[in-house]
Amino acid sequence: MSKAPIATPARRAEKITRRARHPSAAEIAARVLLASCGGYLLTYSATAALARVLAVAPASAVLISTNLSFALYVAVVIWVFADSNIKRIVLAMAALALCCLAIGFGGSV
Amino acid sequence: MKGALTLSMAWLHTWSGLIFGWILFPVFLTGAIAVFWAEITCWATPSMPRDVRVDRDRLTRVATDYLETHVPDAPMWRINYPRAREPLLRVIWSERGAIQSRHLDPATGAVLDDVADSGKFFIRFHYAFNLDRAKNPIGFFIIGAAAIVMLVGCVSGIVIHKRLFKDFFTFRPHSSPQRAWLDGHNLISVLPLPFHIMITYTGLVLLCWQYMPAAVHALYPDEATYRTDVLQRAHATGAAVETHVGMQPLYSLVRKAEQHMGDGNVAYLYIFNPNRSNAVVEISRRRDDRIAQQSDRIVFDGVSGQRLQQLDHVDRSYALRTQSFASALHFMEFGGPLIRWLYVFGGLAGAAAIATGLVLFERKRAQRDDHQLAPFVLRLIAALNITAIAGTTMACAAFLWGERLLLATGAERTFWSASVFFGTWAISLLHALARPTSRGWVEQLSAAALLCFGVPMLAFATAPALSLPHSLAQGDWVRAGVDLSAAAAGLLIAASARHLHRRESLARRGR
Repeated sequence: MSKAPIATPARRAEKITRRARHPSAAEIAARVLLASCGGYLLTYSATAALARVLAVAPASAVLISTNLSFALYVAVVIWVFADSNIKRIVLAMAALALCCLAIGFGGSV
Repeated sequence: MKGALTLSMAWLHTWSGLIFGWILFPVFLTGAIAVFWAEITCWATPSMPRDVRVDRDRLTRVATDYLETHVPDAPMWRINYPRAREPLLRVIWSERGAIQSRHLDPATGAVLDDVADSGKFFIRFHYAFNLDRAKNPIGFFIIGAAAIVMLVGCVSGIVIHKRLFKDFFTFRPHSSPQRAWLDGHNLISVLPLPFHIMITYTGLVLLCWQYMPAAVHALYPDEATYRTDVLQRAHATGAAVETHVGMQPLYSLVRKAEQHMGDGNVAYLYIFNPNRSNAVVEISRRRDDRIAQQSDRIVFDGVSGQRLQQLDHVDRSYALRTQSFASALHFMEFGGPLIRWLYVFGGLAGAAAIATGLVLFERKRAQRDDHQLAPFVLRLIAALNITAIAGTTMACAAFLWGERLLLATGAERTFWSASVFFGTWAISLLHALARPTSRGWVEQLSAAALLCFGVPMLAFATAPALSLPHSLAQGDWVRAGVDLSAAAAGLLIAASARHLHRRESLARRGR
């Protein structure tokens, strides 16, 4: 007797759990790359943007944003592994990074 | 049922902990040892001067005489005054882009050739695997990445521990071996968790703009401009108009600075463009009596003696004072012996947290029969665990052997004692690959224990004046402290080797 594949909430949750327990090699590679390289790029852009918008002397802006950047990087890594939807991570990461790059390096360059 | 978040965090904690644990254990262990870098240098140096209560003016004159005689045309001089922990007068200068330095006896001014900066090896390894950061920053960046993974491990570890508080009081050494490793891992990770997070984060803060140069790129044309700005050192630039100009006597400038900083509180001075018309003398206060990496500073025009800048702690921005505080928490010059020992135990707890995590991974998968990992992968993981934990411990002890046995001095000595460290590491890896896992652990831990016991013994053969009974009789607690600490570490390692050996023979009999 075969079960009909009906997407009940319980079954979806089960699927997510199974995937979290046994992720495929491609998914692992994608997440590791997103967390390390994507995470660094996003943190880099956000740090530049924060330094630009802080209304303090440039030397202080560098110190404040750079010292916070490590906490941000850690948070991004956790997010990449916590969110079950990889597509959403990629899109959100790219959009955020572009916005931050525009704020950090756009305009007066 | 466990949620998807807990599962994904458990996966992240397990695998990032495994891969980076091999880097983090050596970094934490050498960091814990590096707390006593000055004491290790003293331990390794037979001719370390004992009396540092030499008159300031005389020290300045001795150092200036050396620099004037040997390198009058160098673009930069620096003089480090002796202090209780590091009783050496040190002269430093730059020569064609490279930094040179000599140690002088504070009393006689004689050059001390056999001071090898032994203890600094542990610092260099701890932050860049002993690679020169300027030439090859790869080690520096790998350790930076490992620090981020350590923080990720702390956060994901908290997430997967729903029973954080309860686990804290749970230690079941006799239930099952794997349970004991898990409880041990929880105990040693959670109790000093604030220390683990603090020491890792502040390690990144020390040279934060090198790890994350984004803000410097956004606001400054280059790093040098940023550094000049943030450290408020604009005075140090400017072209020379004339050379061979007579300067103000340095001891009188130091005396003037000490009127403000307090007697005996000048720690070091820079002389930029010595003997030129744009000479600048930058005098810095000691920083070991406060938690601040940036020291107070007074700057004089080297020719006219005019005061160009006076920068006290309160004159700096809040951002820099915060960064300076965080850096000093890591760099650890404040506090004295008690705080230093607390840092040693904090660092060792960090190392133990990583080690128990690595062993837990190995044990859990060795017991499971679902064959998720191929046997040769498990074997490789076990060998790397042995190399990272037992091998690094062996290498640290072997380094101290090198310092006692090597006859070379200067750069040659630095090279060879580092080679002893890395050579021991390589031997450890080969041995771990060649031997069965449980034998590998026992044999390498036993070897590490023997090497540690040997540390206080070697002096009897090579330098009787530095041997333990001699230092104890003289009340030399610095040298005796290194010897006794090595012996204590040996006891601890021997006990764990014995424990593993007994369990292994029990298991073999049960089979």
